[in-house]
Amino acid sequence: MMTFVLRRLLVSIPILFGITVVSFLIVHLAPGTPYPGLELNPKVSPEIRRLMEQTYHFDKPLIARYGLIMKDMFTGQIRSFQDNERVLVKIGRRLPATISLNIVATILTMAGAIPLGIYAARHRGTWRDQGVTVLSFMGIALPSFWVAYMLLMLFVGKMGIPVVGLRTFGVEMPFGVGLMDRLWHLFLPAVIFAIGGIAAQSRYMRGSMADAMVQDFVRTARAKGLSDEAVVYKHALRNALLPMVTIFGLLLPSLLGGAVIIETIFAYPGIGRLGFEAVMARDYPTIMTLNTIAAILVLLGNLVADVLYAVVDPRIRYE
Amino acid sequence: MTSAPTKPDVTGPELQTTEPYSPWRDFRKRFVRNKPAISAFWILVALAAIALAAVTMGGTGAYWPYDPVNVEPPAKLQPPTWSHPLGTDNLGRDVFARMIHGTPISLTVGLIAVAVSVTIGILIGSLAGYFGGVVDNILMRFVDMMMCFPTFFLILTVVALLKPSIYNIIIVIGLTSWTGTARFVRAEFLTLRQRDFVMAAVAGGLGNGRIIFRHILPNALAPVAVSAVLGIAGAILTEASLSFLGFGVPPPAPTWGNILADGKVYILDAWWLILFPGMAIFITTLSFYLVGEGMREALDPRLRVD
Repeated sequence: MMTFVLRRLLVSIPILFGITVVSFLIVHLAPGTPYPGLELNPKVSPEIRRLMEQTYHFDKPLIARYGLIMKDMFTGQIRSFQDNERVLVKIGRRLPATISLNIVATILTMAGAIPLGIYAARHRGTWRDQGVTVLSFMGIALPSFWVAYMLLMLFVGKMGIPVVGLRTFGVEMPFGVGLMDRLWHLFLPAVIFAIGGIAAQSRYMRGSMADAMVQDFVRTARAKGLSDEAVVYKHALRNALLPMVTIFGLLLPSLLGGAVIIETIFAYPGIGRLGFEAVMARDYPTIMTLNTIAAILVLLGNLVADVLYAVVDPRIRYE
Repeated sequence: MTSAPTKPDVTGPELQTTEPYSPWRDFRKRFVRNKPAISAFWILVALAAIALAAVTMGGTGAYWPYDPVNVEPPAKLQPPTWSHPLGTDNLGRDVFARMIHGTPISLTVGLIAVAVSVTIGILIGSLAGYFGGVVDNILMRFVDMMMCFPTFFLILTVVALLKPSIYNIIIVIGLTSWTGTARFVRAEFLTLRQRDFVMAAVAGGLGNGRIIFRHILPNALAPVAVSAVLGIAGAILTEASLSFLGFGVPPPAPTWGNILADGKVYILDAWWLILFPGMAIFITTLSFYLVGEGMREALDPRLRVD
């Protein structure tokens, strides 16, 4: 196992290098300067501009710039164009909101996907199974921003309930009520994440469960005369759940992935909205750092998923 | 279709015909029996007809009295009525006309983006799977790398940094969504490479290009077709999301995402600007997903159980 992890980490190094190159090139080969309008601003003297170019290494040729920016990034010194704050500090401030959103969304996803998958697998090939299939494709096909707006129309427009932001703005609340308020603000974005999540994961769960139900040990359990319930939930389900642990490895990358639109709509101060703000402001260092961190998280997440899978399922061996 | 059965496969009473076995007829019969898939297929046919009608009628035409880009401020933000069945937007433009004219744009973005991504995916996947070894290793590490990026954020970054145009969007979506196809094609090639007919082609002294494109690729196209149909849905959703964030197809061209984006400011006053375009996106993507899934099931030999 140790050698497997080490080998995977070694293979990751060239991939990581490619990731940094691509993130760098995408922003640095784009037409236009990173600070549009600065040349025209009379308050910005040529000295200040030169100083800025020096700070962000824009006076260097492309390759030297890549090296210097990478050095800044990996020593944590890279600074945002917007306010000269260290990008890692910016990300760190947004992290708790995004992580709590992800945790709630994951709980909702699992709570929906696992029963739905079991139900579809037990009724495989019937109209019930087909119904679950159509439902899950509906969940995948729903544009998340549209659902968000429909929910906003319902809750804010019709019922006048505040749902936007991290908490209700401008109202002092005792700790317990404040916590409930925060949870409520988290709930709607989490539900929207969970719709897509349930749709996708229930397909995996159905496949996994359907595979388990035709195994020999399940037939043995039935032959012993165990009740249908015991066969499904004790014998088949335990095996069907094993591949689902890999999902926890895939949670890491979802921190940034789909969050951009939903966090922007709900004015939820997480990583996704930070990314959107950075794109709007052409904040190259933040965009690059976010891309790189997200890619590293995917690499790590896949590794964690593989390791977890081997840990829970002794039949899996990596040599 | 990689392993066509040698004798007629009797999967139902209606299949017991005297005609000889044909994989294509078998596929069609199995697809038609999948009710969600076949309904979705007819929805897509209807959408294609609408798109065709919209393209042929140009601006204002015989079909519908209102022009999709004609601004009429006195008639702004009208709820649905008989003359404006889907209401009007903040500039008094007829939403129904804009939705109809948005249809060909949204469909085209999906189709061309997928054509780009499938082409790249087939090229990279077949090269990696056919040559193996170092070529395979390098190409697949590149695929791994591309799969690490948060796709939507990457697309958003590139589209935001470039000038807004429909071509940029199509190309960027195509360039970022080929990794799945590449993996499928590679896997197919790895197995097909070992088959006797490929050995025969190699022994016959055929060139690599001919073996790849004439002998192996036709046998690997079925899963590619499925992933392409599913990919169209993804591309349409991505375009709509980009338009929604203000980085999509530039105005005044109407797309479903654009109409929604224009309407989001009036969310509490004009529900019709949100509901209808969203519905259109939803129904279209759902139809593509269901057709793709129906194709996958009809092609999957393991599902021949009923």
